[in-house]
Amino acid sequence: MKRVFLLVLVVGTETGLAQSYDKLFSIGWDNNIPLSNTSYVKKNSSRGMRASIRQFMNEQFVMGGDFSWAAYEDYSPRQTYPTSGGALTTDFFKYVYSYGLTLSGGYYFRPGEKIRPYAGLGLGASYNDFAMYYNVYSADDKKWGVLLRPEAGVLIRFTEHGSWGALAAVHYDYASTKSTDAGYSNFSNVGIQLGIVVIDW
Amino acid sequence: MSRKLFYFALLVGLMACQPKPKLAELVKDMVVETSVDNTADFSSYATYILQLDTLGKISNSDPTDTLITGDYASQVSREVKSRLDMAGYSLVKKTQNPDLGVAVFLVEDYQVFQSVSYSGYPGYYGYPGYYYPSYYGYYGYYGYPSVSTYSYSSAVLVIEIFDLKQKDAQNKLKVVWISYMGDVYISVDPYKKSVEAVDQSFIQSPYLKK
Repeated sequence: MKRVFLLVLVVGTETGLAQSYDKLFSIGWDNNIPLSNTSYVKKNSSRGMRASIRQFMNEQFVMGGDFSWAAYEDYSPRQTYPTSGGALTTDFFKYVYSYGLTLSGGYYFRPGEKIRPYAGLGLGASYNDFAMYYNVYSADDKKWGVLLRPEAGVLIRFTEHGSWGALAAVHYDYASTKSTDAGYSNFSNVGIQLGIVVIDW
Repeated sequence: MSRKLFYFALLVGLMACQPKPKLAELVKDMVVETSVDNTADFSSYATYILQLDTLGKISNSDPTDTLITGDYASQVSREVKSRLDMAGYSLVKKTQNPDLGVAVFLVEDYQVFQSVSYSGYPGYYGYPGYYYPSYYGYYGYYGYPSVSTYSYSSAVLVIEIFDLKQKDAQNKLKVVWISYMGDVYISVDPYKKSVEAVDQSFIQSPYLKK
């Protein structure tokens, strides 16, 4: 009986250890919906990516960083716009190239489980390039700002001892980047991220 | 293996981070920009002078090449005439004391730039190539740099209308209306698109009438 108890204790401890980890690296596809000044770009952006690193401070709290980018695009068909001294007729291909670099913290629920929901917050810098292309001409306005990104998601480890996993998250980004040319007082969006995770490589 | 896959995914992601429109979509129509002197009273003008079948040319590649003739010049200049006639103005000779002067010309911007690349193939002693002795900190041979020269031209079609009876303090004629249309050279159909751009110039300037 004593041997059985010891065996259960050892196996149980090993299983628990196998499911704990110190670091996460993830890379994922980011699909974003612009929220501010949708007269410039209003289409969803499926061109986006985020790369993240997380260090577990204990079983539940993490710290780390993220690099993200997204490209939003929209098209204004050819029309005539009044200008201060006359008129302009053209079509416009409009883009917002958005980049973010944040320090991030988070809380992971259900320690030791294969499926772990989490909530987090990132704070850092954003760099947005508001660009317009028309015929061979172009105009752009490049701006820096502060980026705030709350998010919630779930981390799924594929196998108990494996180093691969997946994540799904939803996030809200608020960037203070202001562009008078493109008509933005800030740039905000919501996004859905799907990614792969490498655990303790 | 995990690390390689991770870096590969990161690289693929970064490569797609600045999409741009396709050139064919960008240049399917010309940009037309018009400016007007708001003090001009276009109903007070009746006649104009215009050189038909010839356009002016201003180019940074060949300053002596100043005229364009042929089909393009004919089609464009005659479309300008047609539009001015529709607006109620009459083409007259220079000797008939016209109210307006109309100049139609092409402004060409010719750019040349070069890029230098190093082949990476080893050169050989006695053959063209640079040899960096080891005491310079370089080991091995490097081929001559190859220089590639690229050039491109862009061109804007311009219509200027002058008030021939008003001169400024420098004794220059007063420009009362101007239209810029571009780009001509990269257009898929420069003849047709230039004529359309001329039409659009007048369409977006409804005040331009007798």
